[in-house]
Amino acid sequence: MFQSKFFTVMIALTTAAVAAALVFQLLEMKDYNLFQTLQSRFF
Amino acid sequence: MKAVNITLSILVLLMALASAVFSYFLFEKRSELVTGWGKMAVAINSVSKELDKNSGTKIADKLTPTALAHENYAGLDALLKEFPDQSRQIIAERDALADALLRIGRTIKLNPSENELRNLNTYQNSMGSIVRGVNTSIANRDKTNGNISNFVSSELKASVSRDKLEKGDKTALDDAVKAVRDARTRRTHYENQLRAIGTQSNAGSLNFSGDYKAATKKVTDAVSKLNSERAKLRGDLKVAESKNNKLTADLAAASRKLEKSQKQLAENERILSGYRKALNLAGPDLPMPWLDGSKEVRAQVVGHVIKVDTDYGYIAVDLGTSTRVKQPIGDKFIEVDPQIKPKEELVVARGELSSGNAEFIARIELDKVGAECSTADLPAAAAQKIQVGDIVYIENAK
Repeated sequence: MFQSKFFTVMIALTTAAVAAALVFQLLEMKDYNLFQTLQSRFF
Repeated sequence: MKAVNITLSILVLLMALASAVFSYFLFEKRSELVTGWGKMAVAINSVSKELDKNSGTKIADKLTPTALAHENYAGLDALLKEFPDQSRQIIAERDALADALLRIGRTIKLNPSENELRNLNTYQNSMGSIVRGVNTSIANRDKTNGNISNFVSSELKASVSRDKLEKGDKTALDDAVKAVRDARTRRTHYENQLRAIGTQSNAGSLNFSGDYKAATKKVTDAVSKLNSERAKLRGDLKVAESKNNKLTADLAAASRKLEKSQKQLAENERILSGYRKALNLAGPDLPMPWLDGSKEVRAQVVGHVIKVDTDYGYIAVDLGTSTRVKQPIGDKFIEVDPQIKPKEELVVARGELSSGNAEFIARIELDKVGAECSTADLPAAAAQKIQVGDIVYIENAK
């Protein structure tokens, strides 16, 4: 499966989409100062 | 390729995990935001209700929590547009009321602070002080009106309407003004009358606008003086009346006496008329008989030197105490005494005395005066000139 080009393409696109979603979430988290909440809750 | 795919797969997994964590936090945050939105909607609705009370607005009916829910986000701008407008109107109303209170406070001389009237923490105290000040002013106004009313009714004996006074009606004090004008007119009349009295009684200048007591005292003093003078004049008048009575009585007596004298005079006139006839006098007038020793008699005295004695130094003249001068009255004569006395100065002359040709010789002074003759010292200068027969007469009688 890891040898499939199709898989490679699909996983790359998935990576890009997830990265984009993650960036938006990061920006919103930063707006709400949720990283401090996260730190205080888990660290 | 395999390594790349494995790496990307692991990376996707990691990013998915992180995204799941971020999603949880973002979900939690969203829940908070939605809850807060609802609270704010309730708060806005509550504030709207409070602002609507007695304001004549009904914004709260529109700004319900349901209408402000996040589900109705699209119509939120239109809904919330009226809310700040209402707040601004309420603030404007508050400021207007604060300004009104400020002006009222300044009108009653309290000078309140504008900021204190608008400040939520201080407006009650300021408002209370203004209300108390207004109450005090009204109470003072009522007291003043009462005092004015009492003064007008008791002092000016005029009527005044308390209602009109409180309403500021100009006609409220008409009676009082009329009473004051009457009093002024009366005072002016009194002053004029007092000035007239002062002028009549010599009280001097009167200034009633200054020390009126001194001015009126001048008048009363002058009148008192006039009274005392009048009393004195009455006394004098009584004395004069008694004198007048006496004089009248004397006049009556004198009149009676005059009447009697006139009768006597008429009788004398008849007698004199008889004498005139007896003396053959023409005309109604009678010559005045000369008096003894009068100038007329003495002017008629003419004597003569009857002796000149140069040895003893005297001369003798035929004049003496029995010498008489004859005054012709009609065809009769009366003898009048010239009253020859010692020390009498005589002039010795020669010639006709009646023709004015008599020559002056000497002056002599009688030493001894006898009945028929008198003697005088012989003047040394004229001792040889004087001769027996020379005439002598009284010089100062000519």
